[in-house]
Amino acid sequence: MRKIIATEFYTLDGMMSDPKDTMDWVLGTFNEEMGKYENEIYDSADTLLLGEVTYKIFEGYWPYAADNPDTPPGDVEMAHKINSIRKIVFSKTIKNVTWQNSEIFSDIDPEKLKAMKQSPGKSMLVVGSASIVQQLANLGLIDEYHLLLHPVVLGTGKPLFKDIKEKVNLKLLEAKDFGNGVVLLKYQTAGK
Amino acid sequence: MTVDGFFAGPHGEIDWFKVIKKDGEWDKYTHEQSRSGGTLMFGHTTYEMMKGYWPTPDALKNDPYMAEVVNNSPKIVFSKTLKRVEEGPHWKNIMLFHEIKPEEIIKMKEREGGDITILGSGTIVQQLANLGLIDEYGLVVVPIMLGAGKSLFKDVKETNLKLLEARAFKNGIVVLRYQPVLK
Repeated sequence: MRKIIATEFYTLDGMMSDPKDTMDWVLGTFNEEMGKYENEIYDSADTLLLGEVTYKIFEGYWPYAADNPDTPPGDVEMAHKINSIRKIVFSKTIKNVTWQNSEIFSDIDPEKLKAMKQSPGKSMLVVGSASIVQQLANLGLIDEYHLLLHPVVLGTGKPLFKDIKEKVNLKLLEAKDFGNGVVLLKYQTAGK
Repeated sequence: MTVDGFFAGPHGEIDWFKVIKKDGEWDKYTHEQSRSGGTLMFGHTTYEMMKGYWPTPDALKNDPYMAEVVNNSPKIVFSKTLKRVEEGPHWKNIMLFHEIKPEEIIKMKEREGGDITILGSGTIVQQLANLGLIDEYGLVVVPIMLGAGKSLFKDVKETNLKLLEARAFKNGIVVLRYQPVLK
């Protein structure tokens, strides 16, 4: 069965971004080990499940990254992966998408997502998209959380786990030190 | 601390600690940590919880080693409402302060003796963090999300930290130790 994996940059105070989504706290520490993880997780997947905010940020960056001489080399490789992978954006307001291999789902239909999990294919990743993480978590549809825990307290920002309705028991799959202060915590849920 | 950053449930519940399964390596680690001979520091709520358990026959039977360590360790309590602290045969060596005075904390740090360890006590952690008086955070990340509770870093200002140690145990606990970095 295909997994839905939420892979998130995370802080000690539970934030997934600063208030302006600038992510300086990630860019400043990103290293080769983290790049390796990112390549592996994207290679293990064939679909991204995104909320509007993350979709728009990605759409404004990734289609142009490979052609921009200022783009870091790691991002050039990632750009090919992200541009070609299937992207589903959950949105009631976006009317059409021009980014390669993107489609709009107007709402989160648990039955549709369960059917997708049962069909053949690779994992589906939720990246950023806190509101999508929260909704899928409350529907019991997330199978794994990969939290890239950064050595920082932001103080203000967007909490990843707002409005989680019930306790979620987790099983630790892996804890990995990337060597730059960032620790990857991989957890499995009981799932549905 | 839970994965979603809570050190207690919304009403101070710590029943979720029971998801921590027994593990020889983990027990060894917690006992090693308690050997320092240092001082324990609490806010009112955690103090009452500790007092309600460690001097009791249950604790003396289930974990006599830890009960003795907690009993013998010098204990500092911050409370505006507690008038005095009551000692007993299994609950000694307690000092009560009605407010956090940075100069007093700095003096405590300069004195001889082991380290000062704050357990639980979110509001004390938050106040001392914002005064720049915390030297190390030892976070025991428990494999659970509570959904609601008391956030450890509530109202704590932006802080960069240095990871000192990341260690995983077979029962799913991850211990993370950090040192705040001055800006």
